Amino acid sequence: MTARGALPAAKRDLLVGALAMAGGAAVVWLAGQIRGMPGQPFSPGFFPGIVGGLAALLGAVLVLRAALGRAPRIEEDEAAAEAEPALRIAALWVAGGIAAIAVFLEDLGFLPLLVGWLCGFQMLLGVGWARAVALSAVLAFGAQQAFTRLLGVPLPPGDWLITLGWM
Amino acid sequence: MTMTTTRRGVLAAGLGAAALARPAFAQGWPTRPVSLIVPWAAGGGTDATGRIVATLLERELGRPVNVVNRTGGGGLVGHTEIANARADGYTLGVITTELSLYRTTGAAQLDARNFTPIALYNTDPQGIHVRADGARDLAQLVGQIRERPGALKASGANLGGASHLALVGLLSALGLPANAVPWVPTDGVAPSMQQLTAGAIQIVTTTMPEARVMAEAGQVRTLAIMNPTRDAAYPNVPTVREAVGADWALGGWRGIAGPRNLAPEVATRMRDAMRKVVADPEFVRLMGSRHFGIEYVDGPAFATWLEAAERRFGDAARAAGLAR
Amino acid sequence: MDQLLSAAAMLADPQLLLVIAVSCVFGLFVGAVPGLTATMATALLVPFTFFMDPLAAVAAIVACTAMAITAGDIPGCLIRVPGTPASAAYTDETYAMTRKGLAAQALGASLVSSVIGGLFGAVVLMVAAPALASVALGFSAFEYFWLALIGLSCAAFVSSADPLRGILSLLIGLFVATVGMDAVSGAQRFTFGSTALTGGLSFVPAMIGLFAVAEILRALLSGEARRPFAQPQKVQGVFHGVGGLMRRYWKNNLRGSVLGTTIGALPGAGGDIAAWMSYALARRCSKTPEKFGTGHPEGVIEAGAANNAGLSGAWIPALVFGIPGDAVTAIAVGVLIMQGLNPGPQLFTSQADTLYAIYMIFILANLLLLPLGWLAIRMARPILAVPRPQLMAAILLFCVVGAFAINNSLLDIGVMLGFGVLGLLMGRVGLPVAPVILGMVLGPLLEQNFLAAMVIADGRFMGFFERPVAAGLGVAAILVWLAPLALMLARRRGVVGAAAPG
Repeated sequence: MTARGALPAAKRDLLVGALAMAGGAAVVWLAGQIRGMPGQPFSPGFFPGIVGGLAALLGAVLVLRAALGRAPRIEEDEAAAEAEPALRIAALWVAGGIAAIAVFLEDLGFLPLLVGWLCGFQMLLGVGWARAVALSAVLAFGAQQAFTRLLGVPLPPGDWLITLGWM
Repeated sequence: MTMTTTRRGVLAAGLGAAALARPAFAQGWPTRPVSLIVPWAAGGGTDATGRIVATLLERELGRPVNVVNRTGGGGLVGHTEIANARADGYTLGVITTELSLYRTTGAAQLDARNFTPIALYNTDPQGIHVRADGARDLAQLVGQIRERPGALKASGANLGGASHLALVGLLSALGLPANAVPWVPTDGVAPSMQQLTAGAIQIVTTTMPEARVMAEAGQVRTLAIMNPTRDAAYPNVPTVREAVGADWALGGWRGIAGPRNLAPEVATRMRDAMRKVVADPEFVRLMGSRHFGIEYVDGPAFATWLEAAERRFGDAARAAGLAR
Repeated sequence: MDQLLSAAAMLADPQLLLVIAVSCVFGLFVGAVPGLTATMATALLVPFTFFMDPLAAVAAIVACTAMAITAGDIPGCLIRVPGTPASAAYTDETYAMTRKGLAAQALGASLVSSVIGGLFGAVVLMVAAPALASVALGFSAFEYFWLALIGLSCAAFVSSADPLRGILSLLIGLFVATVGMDAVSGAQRFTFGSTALTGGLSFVPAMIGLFAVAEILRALLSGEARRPFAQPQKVQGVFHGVGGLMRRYWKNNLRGSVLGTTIGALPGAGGDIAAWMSYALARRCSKTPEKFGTGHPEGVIEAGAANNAGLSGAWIPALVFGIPGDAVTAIAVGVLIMQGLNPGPQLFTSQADTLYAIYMIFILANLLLLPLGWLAIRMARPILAVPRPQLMAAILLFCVVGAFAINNSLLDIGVMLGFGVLGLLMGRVGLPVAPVILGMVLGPLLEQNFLAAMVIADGRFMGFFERPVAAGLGVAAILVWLAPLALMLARRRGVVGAAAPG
């Protein structure tokens, strides 16, 4: 039952191996650019250089193993079933939402952003809008109160609200 | 960082005159909670003193003062955050010894001029510590170093940090090269002390409060204090001058500062508040319970003090070959 | 004695007891809901623990994980979906018992054996950790370098069925840990001139991304998010006849506890692996191996004890050396360091009373398993009726708040997203995720001790073998690498039969 998304063992090993070789080589090169320190036998680039080198080496072994047809089938390659479009949009909404929060949290504020995001997420999964709004509001407000009051960590209220004098 | 500032600027402009009319903000400061950025991890010495100051500042300012730990990069991340904060007084911070070093060691183009100094509140002298069964006094230790340069190893924290400079400065005052005692870099005092008690290294240089627990447990002994005079908290520990006749003093420091161009009303209000905080018996008691030394220098004088500190640290770093 | 008393006094704090109770309920819920793992529970809990005092933080993690691992047995038994991977080893067995109408017996046996295993592990922790710590006081950079290397090697070999993938995941973690300003030299590494990256890629957001965000994305993209959980039958009389089972299979219980603690104490191998190995061992040692898989309690008791014992065992190297035994303790080590309570032998002298209090929390949490576990079994129906979209929304909120609050940094939210996507992709190509976290914790330890040791030894590699303990550990590290190679060669020549677990 190889559904969409799951790669056959050999192909997957080729891909992972090639990526590891490229990534490892890049790390080795970048690590080589780091200057040494006076009085120290090794430069700060020494350790990452070894890590990168090992990754590249391992990548080569994986590629070789795949080429020889010895890639093992292991439990982790659990087949990913076909996801319906709504779920894929929801996944994009999750990732895009986190990115948007990372950029706009201070400007737009914790409560407005989070309520909108969580609400949209639930509605994409078929929850009615009233229930989605209610739960999102309760969750976001609860989290804000918990962090501000109990833990003493203020979450950004939103610059526009401060400017308008609402916070 | 710069991206955030620009974007915020654009948004503020977009939101209209209210945002542009910023100069009015300092009126009646503070009207909401103030964040105090601590550039070191929770649980450390800077965090402990920062929290003491924050608690007492709250009383003076009548608004919550929240300690925010912004760690990483040897304090650089937090210091940068304070320097880049909006100069509205709602983001201030604790600045520490490392600030005197960033520019000289080439870690960052950041120094006291990027800040509005408000008050120095703590200094701790560095000390030279050995294992309980190590050298009897500093003179004997120096003798051992002269006899076999490079054989004894020292540690205390990172390369080019204040602990490292304390050692190199001492060596240079004694006319010894920096490599007479190789520096074993670690990421803090705790692992350095572990190396010392395990017998892998022979010397640890660090501030007196940092070595206190181990000294009280009888595992390490302090040979000398890097201070011009003896410290009342450690009456039995000789100064470097008393022990070997060389002139060398260095300490760690901590102060409160805001970003450059802090509104003058905020700065004045904060300087007043800090003057009261350091005189508060509660402050003296809390700092004393953790053996932190109190030294108070007010705003403008603190700026001059910082310049002098930068010169001293810079000279030591150049002697150690750590300057860039 | 004084320390014991002051430890007890620390424990009598009502706020601490409240933290333990809340963490237990949280762990119980997370464990009982399939797809939410004990590691994920810990990852989501950490941002809260960060603002507690260190003891409460540890208590929260201990109570939450013990509860999650135990509650993970419940959906496995009732609807054949393990609540956490640690229950996967005997899910089919307990489900077979349920079909024979023995659900109560299966859950009762796994619950009681969990408690016994957990208590056994806690006692071993109490005895072994201080003893090891007094030895470790004399450890220097050389010994620590070898220990970190042994930890990494074990993690590489046991964390995945395919060691090559395990090693690759570890290397990813080791690399990630080097990003930012180097703590010992002040050099900028892989920051590309960005001040924001100077502080490195933060541990907690990375972990939340790998274990929580990645899991949500996976559930969405695999269509799993749509399927509601099956509704289990009602279970009554959980403790009925369990006493007889425990007397009959006491040997299994003991063997599972011993093996679980030992495996747990090995860096990189946690309760999941302990459960698989114990189940296999129970079958091999059984007088009636043919009954295994048909609804037989023997293996359930042994493996049920093993996964809980493994939890306590993993704390031994974590507290004594700062070398975590599994992903959960890797997170715990990170939390302790952030709390200024650096794990290591010094902790046992300077914070002896705190450590006593931690041991007591282990005992307390495991005893609490009995009533709360019983409650969870009774509550299985409402817990499994929780609608997935709402559950996922709550988890997403936890993720974002947690990643941000730990350092008040917007960059950290981005880091969490990056690691969430990384975790998703790693799952797609069959790379295990847990070693990344171990690599992130062990990487700095390995590097810093190596560099420190090289200065101390004046750049001579032989210095790593000159201190007696270091030499012993060095030989052990080399053996860890040689053993699998030798085994592989032997197997190729047909000397050893198929010895693969599972």
